[in-house]
Amino acid sequence: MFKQIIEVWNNVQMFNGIWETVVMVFVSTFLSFLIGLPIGILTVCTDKGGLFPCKVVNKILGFIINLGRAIPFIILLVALIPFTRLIIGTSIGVRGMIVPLTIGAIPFVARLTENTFREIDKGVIEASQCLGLNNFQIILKVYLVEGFPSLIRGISLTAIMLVGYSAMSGSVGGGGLGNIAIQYGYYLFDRTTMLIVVVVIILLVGIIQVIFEILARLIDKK
Amino acid sequence: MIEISHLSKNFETKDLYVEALKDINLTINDGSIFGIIGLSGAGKSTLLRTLVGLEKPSDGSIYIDDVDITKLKGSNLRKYRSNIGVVFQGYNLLMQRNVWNNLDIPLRVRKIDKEERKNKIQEIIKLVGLEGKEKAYPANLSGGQKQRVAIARALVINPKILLLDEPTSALDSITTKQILKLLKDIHELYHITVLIITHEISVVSSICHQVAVINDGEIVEKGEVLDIFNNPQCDVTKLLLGKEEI
Ligand SMILES: Nc1ncnc2c1ncn2[C@@H]1O[C@H](COP(=O)(O)OP(=O)(O)O)[C@@H](O)[C@H]1O
Ligand SMILES: [Mg+2]
Repeated sequence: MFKQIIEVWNNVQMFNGIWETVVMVFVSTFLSFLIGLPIGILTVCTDKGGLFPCKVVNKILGFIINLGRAIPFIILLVALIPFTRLIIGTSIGVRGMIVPLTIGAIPFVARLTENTFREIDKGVIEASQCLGLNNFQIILKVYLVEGFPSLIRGISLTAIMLVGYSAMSGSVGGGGLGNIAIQYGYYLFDRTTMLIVVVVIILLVGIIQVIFEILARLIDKK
Repeated sequence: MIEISHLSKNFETKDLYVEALKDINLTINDGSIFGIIGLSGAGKSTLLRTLVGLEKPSDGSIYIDDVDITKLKGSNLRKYRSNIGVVFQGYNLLMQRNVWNNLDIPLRVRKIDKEERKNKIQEIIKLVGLEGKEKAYPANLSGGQKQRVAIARALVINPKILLLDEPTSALDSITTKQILKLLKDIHELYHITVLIITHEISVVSSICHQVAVINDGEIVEKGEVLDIFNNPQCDVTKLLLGKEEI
């Protein structure tokens, strides 16, 4: 049994698969926060009662976020192929998956950020205004700091979602564990390999969850 | 001097119209401890929020040193606020920062240099009796200690006016006495104008010089504390004084 696992492990280059998945998830989580976080912040700030209310911008952002969240990822994955080719040069492999994964996660991150900041007591924001902080300082020193533990948990949620998405991307030529599952489990009906990949993905998700939960608890002073 | 004249504030929502403040006229002299007392829902917090520019009045003006502060916006509003220390109902401390950093923030944004910030924070921490708690986070402090942090944060910027919204209503009677003593000490030390909003008559009787009674958005009575207490005119005042049954 143990021998068999090791055999499969080496045969399918499992380490390489794990590494590719980790890279895809890490890079696209990072990029989706880079873009989704400011969108979420802007949404909260432009909302009624926000730091700089602006109905038009708020409605447009809300629409885009909702639209983005409504599109099933598998469809986005296919639909973005030409766009990905255009900016990356390829639509397959690890590199080719970064674009759809990032774009798929941006609306999620934006909504997550929005919810995080809405949870912060309005009174704390008003107190900060009275202490002389300008809008920029409130975003930087109040929203982001007070919401930080919550955002850490959000990173974990996003990364876990992206592990799932990246596995899905195996179906259109993405790399990583999803690719191994498709190649061996789907095309070659290799049940053992399939099972091992599933266990590895579950472990990966578990590790992400534990690490970020520990981190969030260490940081959270509330 | 704070001169509030013909101030009114209406809240209008889809299915609600509230006259929270109705034609308020008040003069608060520099250096006095002024109490505004009223039952819950009388409009006290709304008045305080208008005083710091968090609410725009529907009508009327608030002149402080010849400036109508209800008209201020942006950086002018921030400049006005830099002379005002506010202690909110419910503390409103930054939960993810320790006591020291809660006090440091208002100084930092004023670009005060490190040494001066350190001295000022140490001075205030000593004044409010929070020595040894510098590194503690608000979640680990008692109600009284949190209120001390909130007061310290309001004072750290050397305000000319200190506004407090129900500073003792969440505290037990002993802690209340300590906080009131602290406010008295602060007033003696800095000679600043102190405006206290409360529903507790004991707060007014123990530290205020003048008082205004607010009921249903209206000032129904105002004057020297002793005069009002010895000869209350309105039912609400009598009620608050415990001289009339509900
Ligand atoms: N933002 C708001 N929108 C609608 N009504 C409000 C708002 N703020 C306060 N009010 C109403 O104004 C009245 C006075 O409230 P408040 O000033 O908080 O009273 P107090 O502080 O004396 O208890 C209440 O009837 C309250 O419901
Ligand atoms: Mg109130």
